[in-house]
Amino acid sequence: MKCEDFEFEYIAAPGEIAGDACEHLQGCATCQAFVEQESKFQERMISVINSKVPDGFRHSVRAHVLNNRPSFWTLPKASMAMAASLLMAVGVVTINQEQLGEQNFPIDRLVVEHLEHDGARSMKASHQLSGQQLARISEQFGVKLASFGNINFAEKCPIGDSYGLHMTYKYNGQLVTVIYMPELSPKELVQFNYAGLKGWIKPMKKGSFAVLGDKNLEIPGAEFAEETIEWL
Amino acid sequence: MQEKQKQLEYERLVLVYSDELFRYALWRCRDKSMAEDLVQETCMRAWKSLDKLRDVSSSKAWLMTILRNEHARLYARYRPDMVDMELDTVSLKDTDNDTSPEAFALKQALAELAEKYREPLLLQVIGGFSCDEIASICNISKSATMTRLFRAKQKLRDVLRPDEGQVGV
Repeated sequence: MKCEDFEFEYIAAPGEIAGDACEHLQGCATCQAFVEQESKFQERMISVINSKVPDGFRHSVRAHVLNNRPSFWTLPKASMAMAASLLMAVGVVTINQEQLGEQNFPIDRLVVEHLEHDGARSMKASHQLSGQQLARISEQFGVKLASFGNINFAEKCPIGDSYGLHMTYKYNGQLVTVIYMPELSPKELVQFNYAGLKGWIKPMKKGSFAVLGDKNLEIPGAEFAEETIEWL
Repeated sequence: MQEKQKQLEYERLVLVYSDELFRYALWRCRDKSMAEDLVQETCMRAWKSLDKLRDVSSSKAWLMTILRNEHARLYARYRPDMVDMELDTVSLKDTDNDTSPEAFALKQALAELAEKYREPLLLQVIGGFSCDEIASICNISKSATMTRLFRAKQKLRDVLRPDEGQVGV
C-alpha cells in the first residue's frame, strides 16, 4: 500500500483501519506522523460537530411521547364497546402480579434511566453515612449490608413501577452506584454497557442487586452482591 | 408488543439515542428549537411504528432514517424563511457551544458543505456509523461514501490550515 492510499483511508474512516492499511502504518514513520497530526484535527472536528445537548432534553422527549400517545380514552368508542363486550364474555379478569414479574422486562434500562435521572444528586453526597443511618434504611428493605463502609448516599427510590435502595459506594477510590431492588429481578445475570454506563444486575434470593458506573470505571464483579447483602 | 414492553423499549431508545438524534437534527435544521421539535416528532413516529422494529441492533439507523424523512418534510415547510438567514447566524443560533474563532470557522465551513458531503460526515461523527452503514443509509456505494468523507474533511481542514497543500488522492 502507498502512503497516499493509507492517508485516503485514514482520513475517510479513521476508525476502520485494518488489514493492509494497518500493516502499512506499523512500518511507515511518515504515516505514523500523519496519523498523529490527523488525529488532532479529527478530535477538533468531532468536538465542534458534537454540540451540547440541552439539559433535560432526554426527559422532555420521553415525556412528550408518553403524554401525547394515543391512550385508552382516546380510542374510538366502537373499539371500547368491543373491548367491553369481550371482557363481559370472558368474565372476571384478574391480573396475576407474579406473571407480570416473570415477563422479560429490560431491567437494565430501568436502572440506567434511574441513574440518568437521579445520578448527579446521589454523586454529590460527600459525607459517609453512619452505620446507624444505613441500618435504619436497609431494614426497610429487610436486608443488612455486610462489610459495607464507604457509603455516601442511600435512599429509597422509584425504579420503574417498583422501588429500590439506591446507594453510592466508594470502590477503589471511585464512586459507583449500587441498587437493591426487592421486587424486580432478571432471570439471570444481566450485563450492559451503553449510554456511557456499564454495569450488571444479578438475581438474588429476593429481588436483584445492580452495580453500575461510568463506562471507564472499574466496578466490582458479580460476587460483590453476595458479599454485600444479608437477609434479615 | 404489549404496552408496557413497548414503553420500556421506547424509553431505551430515547435514553440511548436522543442525544445523537438532537445533534444530528441540530446540524440539519441549524436551529435549536427546530431541532428539538424534529427529535420529538421523530420519537413520536418511532413510538407509533415501534412494532415494526424487528432488529433491535438497527435501532439507531432506523431512528436516523425517520429523522431524515421528517426533516425532509419540515425543510420543505421552513425553506422560505431559511434562505433569508445569514449562514453564520443560522449555524450558531442557540447552540451554546464552543465560540472560539476556530470553532466558528469550522461550523461555518460545515454549514457551507454540499449536502452530499455533509450528510456522510454527520452520520459518521454523530451517529458513529461505519462506511458500510453510511453507504446503506445514503443509498450510495461504499467507495463513494469514502470519497465524500475524504473530501468533506479536506474542506474542513483547509479552513484550519489554508496554506497546506493537498494530501493524498
